[in-house]
Amino acid sequence: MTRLAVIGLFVCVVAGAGCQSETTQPDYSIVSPVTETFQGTLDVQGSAFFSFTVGNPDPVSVTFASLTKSSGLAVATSVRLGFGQPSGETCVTTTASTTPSSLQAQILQVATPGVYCVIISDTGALTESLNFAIKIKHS
Amino acid sequence: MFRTCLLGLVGGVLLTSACRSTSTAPAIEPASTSEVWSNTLTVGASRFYSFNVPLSGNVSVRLTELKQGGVATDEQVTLGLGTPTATDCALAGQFVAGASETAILTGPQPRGIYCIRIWDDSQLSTTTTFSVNITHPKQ
Repeated sequence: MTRLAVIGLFVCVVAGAGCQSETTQPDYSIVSPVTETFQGTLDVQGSAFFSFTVGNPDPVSVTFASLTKSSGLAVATSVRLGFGQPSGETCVTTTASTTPSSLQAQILQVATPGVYCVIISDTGALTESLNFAIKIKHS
Repeated sequence: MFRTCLLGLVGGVLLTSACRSTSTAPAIEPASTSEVWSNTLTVGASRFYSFNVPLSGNVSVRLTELKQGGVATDEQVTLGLGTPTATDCALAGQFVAGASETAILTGPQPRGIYCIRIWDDSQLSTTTTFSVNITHPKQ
């Protein structure tokens, strides 16, 4: 009887261990945050977008850092800044705001792993093409 | 002691059954949907189009139409499938093709956001309109 009890427990432990080995764990590798810079020229009534891949579900910060004339002179004009996912021929936003350039992030968004985008567009305030720089920090 | 033995055996059987229930079933291809991307390609230009594949499954791409001045042409363009990256579509592969009802790209893809890029690699003589049909799993 003692032998049967030991066999029963052994079967239980082995079977249990077999199941435990199939337990799914989140498949997130450790990824160091990276900062990507999106630079370009924004035309009057124009827009431009930039796609990037998020590897870990960490916050994504978007900083519209500068808007300058071709001479290098900074301007305080507000533009539309959006965060979303690429779809069709554009970036479909889930978050957007009209903002001037700043040294502080205008968008802070938690994103699950996947492909995302940032779009900048003129709301009608531009009178000439301007150069912009946007910093995107993500994992 | 008998109770211990019985518990051990029952536990083992239950856990073994639980393990069996995780056996893989035959893969079922999810329902699909189609998107049509139509636009104009000027000589030497490129465009890209992003789309979401919400479930793993087969993705196929057909270049269904190429027209110049409203008339079908047998000239060719280059197409590729990739992932939206920065301000373009980073390609995993590319093909030269003319308009056809036959899929020029087809195969299984994991869920995610992808893009199709079309461009003129010195193949077009004039501005050309195109239509691309993309079939992929739907949610």
